[in-house]
Amino acid sequence: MLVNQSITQSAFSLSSTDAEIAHFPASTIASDDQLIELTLGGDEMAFESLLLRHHRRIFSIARRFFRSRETVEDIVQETFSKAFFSLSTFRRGATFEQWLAKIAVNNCYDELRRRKKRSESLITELSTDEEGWLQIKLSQTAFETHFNEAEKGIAAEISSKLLSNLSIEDRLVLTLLHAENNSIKEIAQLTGWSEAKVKIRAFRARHSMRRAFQRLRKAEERKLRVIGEISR
Amino acid sequence: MTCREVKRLLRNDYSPALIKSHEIKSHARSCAKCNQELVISSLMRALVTSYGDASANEHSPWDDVRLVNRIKSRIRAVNEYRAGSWDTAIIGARRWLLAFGAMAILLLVLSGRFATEGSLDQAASDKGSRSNPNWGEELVSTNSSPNLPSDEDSDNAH
Repeated sequence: MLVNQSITQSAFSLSSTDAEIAHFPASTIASDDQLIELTLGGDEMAFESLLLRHHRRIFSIARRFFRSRETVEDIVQETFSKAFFSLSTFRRGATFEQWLAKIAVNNCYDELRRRKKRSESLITELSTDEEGWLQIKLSQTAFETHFNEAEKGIAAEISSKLLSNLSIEDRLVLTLLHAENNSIKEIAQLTGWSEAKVKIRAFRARHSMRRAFQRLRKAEERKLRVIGEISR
Repeated sequence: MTCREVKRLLRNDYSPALIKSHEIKSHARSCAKCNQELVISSLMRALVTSYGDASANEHSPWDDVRLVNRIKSRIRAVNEYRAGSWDTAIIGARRWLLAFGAMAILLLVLSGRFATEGSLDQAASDKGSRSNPNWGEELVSTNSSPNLPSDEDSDNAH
């Protein structure tokens, strides 16, 4: 909870109107550290500059975990609010964006835990169409998978179901690894877990997904065999 | 490259460049099993990525304005809540409370120590008053105490 954070800062006054905000401060020259100092001194425009400089990255992280725009915005809002109240604890010279990303990942993790819903079985989860689509994809020989615009929707739906079968920790690691292209070391820094733990989680998550794919593939092979026998 | 090496790499190395590796691709072309492994790895990566991509909407500058306002409102709300809550009072007074606590403990420890020292001194002085500082003389000298038997008494007893 924000209330429990121990930072007491000058109140973030809300004097600026939308019109004022519309011409965002052009503090592009100032470094993050300088903007942080200004924010801590009570300059709200400096915090706006920080916010506008880094919000895309935070949006990007939140979008990897949640598809609802509202939830994504909640995560972004909570991340920046927490960052504002903990700004004095930020170590100067460190990467501010990485620090923000860490807060965002923790927020996503907390939200995922809140929403923890486990499915009983993968096969019953995926619709027949989805299974068929996945089987076609698995039988392809191209090594690099790309989805066209029409396929993106179904891919996202299948992905959502497959990911929901994983534990929250496994899902977090897999998403940061594949969607955000973070290294094991970076994930360890973002989550605060040890590299060994991240590796184990990654291995487990990939193993679980691979098993689901293999199960589908075997089902397809069985179906083809039966069709072959009938036709003979 | 052998099948075992490909399998080991695909299962333990998570870098995106791996799938594009020329060596792995050339091996997978001639091996159905490794081909399948590579397809699965690639599909898994693409699916996980697609989850976030599908929710990516067009970004308008108005979103930035709205976001800034939203965050500002949130910060103001938290500030207002903090200003009127007991938590703030406790957080604000935390250092003082800690200082007072430490002082109280220190005083207790010191008073306990002084009390012990005082009682030791008292015990020592009591002991001192009971024992004669010229005890050596007392041993040498004939008894002056009326309670103790004198030499004569002991002779008479014999």
